[in-house]
Amino acid sequence: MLRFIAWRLGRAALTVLLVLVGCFVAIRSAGSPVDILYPEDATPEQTALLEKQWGLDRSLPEQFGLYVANLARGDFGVSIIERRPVTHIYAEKLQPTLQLAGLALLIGVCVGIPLGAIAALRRGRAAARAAMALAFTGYAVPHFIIAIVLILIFSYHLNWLPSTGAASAWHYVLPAVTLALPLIAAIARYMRSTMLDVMNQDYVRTARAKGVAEPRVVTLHVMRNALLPLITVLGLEVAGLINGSLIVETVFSWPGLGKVLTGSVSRRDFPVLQFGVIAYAIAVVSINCLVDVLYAVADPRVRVES
Amino acid sequence: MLAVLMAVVAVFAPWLTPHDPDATQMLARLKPPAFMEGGELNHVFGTDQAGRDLLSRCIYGVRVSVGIALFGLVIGCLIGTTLGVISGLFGGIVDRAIMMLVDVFISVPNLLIVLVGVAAFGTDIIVLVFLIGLARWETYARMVRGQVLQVREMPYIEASRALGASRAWIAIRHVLPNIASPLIVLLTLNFPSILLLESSLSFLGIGVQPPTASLGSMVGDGRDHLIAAWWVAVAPALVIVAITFVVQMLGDWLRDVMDVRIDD
Repeated sequence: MLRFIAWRLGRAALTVLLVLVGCFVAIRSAGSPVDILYPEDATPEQTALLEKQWGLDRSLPEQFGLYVANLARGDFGVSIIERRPVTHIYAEKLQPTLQLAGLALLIGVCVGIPLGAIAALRRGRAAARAAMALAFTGYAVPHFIIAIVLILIFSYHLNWLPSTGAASAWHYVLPAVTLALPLIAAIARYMRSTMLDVMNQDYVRTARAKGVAEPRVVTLHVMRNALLPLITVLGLEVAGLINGSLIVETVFSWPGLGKVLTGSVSRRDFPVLQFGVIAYAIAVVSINCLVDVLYAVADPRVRVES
Repeated sequence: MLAVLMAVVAVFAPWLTPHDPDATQMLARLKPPAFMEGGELNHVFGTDQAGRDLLSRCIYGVRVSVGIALFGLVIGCLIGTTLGVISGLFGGIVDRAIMMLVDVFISVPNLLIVLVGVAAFGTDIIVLVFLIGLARWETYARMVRGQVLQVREMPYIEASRALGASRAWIAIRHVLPNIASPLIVLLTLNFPSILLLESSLSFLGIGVQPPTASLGSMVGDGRDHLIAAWWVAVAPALVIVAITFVVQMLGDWLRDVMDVRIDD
C-alpha cells in the first residue's frame, strides 16, 4: 500500500513539474518579460540592468532553476496590470469560485446518480429514455449556450432569478445549474453503463436466486459496486468542471477566478495567468491523486494491477 | 444526410447567402426573425445590432467554426496517432514517457492550455488551430496504443517481422489499416468537443477575432443584446447545437455500425 502511494505521489509530482516546464517555455517564447513590463522608451542600459536583476542573461536551464526556486519560496510574481502580488488577487477571488464549483458538483452527483440508475433499471421505458435524452443534451450543448438559454428564460422572460453577480443565495441558482448540467449528463451516462455491467454479474444473479428482495439487490449489490468506479470518473470530471467554471463565471459576471484568468489572457498579464494555471494544475493533480489512493484503499485489486 | 448538408453549406457559403454577411444596414437594425411580428422574409433569422443579416452571418460562421474544428481535429489526430503507434510498437521507456505526457494532458484542463498558448502566441487563426488540435490528441494516442498492442500479437505481424520487415513498415502497412475504423469513430466523436472548444474560446473573445466571425463569437456579441433582441445570440447558438447533435449522433451510429468499442 505504501509503495502504491509513493508511486502515485511521484507521478503527480512529475506531472506538476511538466506543467511548470510548459508554462515556462510558453511564457519565455512570448518575448522578454522586460519588453512586456516596461515602456518602449527604456534605454538599453536600463533593460540590461533589469535583465541582469532577473537573471535573464543566464542560460535557459539556469533560468528555469531560478523560476522554480522562486515558486517554491511562494514568490509567484506581481500582476503587471494591478501591480500587486498575484497571490493576493487569487486569495480574494478563491471563495466564490470554490462555492460555485462545489455546489455544481453536489447537484451533479445528487441528480446524476439517480438519473443514471433510473436509466439502467427501467431500460427501454419512457422514464429511461427521457433521462438519457437529457443526458445527451447536457453532453452536446456547451456551457455558454446553456447559460444564455437559462438567462433568457428565468431572468428576462419569467423574471424569477438574477443573472449577474453573487449578491444573494438566489444568484447561485443559474450559474450552479449551468455548471452542473454537463456534469449530470456525464455522471448519468457513466452510472447507466456501469450499472448495466454490474447487473449482468454472477453475484447479482446469485443474490436474486437466493431470494434477496429486489430493492436490496439494487441498493446493496448493484449500486454499491457501480458507485465505486464513479469516484475515479468524478476525479477526471474536475478538469471539465474547471473548464466550465471559467466560462460560466464570465457569463454570469461571477466575482471569482474565471474572470481573473480570462482577463489576464487578453491583457497578457503573464504572472496572473501563470499562477492560475499552476494552481489549477496542482489542484486537479492532487484531487486525482487522492482519488486513486482512496480507490486503492477501497479496492485492493487496483494496487495489484499497478 | 444532415452532415452532408452541413458540409455543402460550409463549402458553398458565398453562393448560398442571401446577403453580404458584413453589409450593415442601419435602418434595419435588430430586426426579429421572419416568424415574429415585424420580421421580414428578407431576413429569415432577423438582423443584428449593425443591421447585418443573421442567416448570412451564420452560414459564414459555420464555415469558420467547422473549418477551424476540422483542421484542429486533423492535427490532433496526426500527433496522437503518431505517438500512439510509436508508444505501442516500441514499448519500454518510450512508451512510459509518452503515456506520462498523456497523463499530464488529461489532468490539465484543456481550456487552460489554450489560454496560455493564446497569451503567449496571440490569437492568429493558425495558432488557434494548433492549440485546439493539441487539446484532444491524447484520446487518439491512448486508443491507437491499445489497438497496436492488440494487433502486434497477431500471427501475420509476427510473420512479417520474421520476414525482416522494419518497425516503420509494419506500422504503416499492417497496423494503420487495422486501426482505421476505430480512428474514424473517434474522430467523429471528438469533433463536437473540438467545435465547442473553439466556440467557447471565441465566445470569451479570445478565439477568432473580428472582423472574422465564428458561431461562438456571434453568440458572444449577441449576449449584449439579450433583452432587446434575443435572436442575435440564439440563432448562432442553435446552429452550434444542431451541428454538435448531428455529428454526435453520426458518431454513435458509426460506432454501432463499425462495431467499435471506445471508452468515453
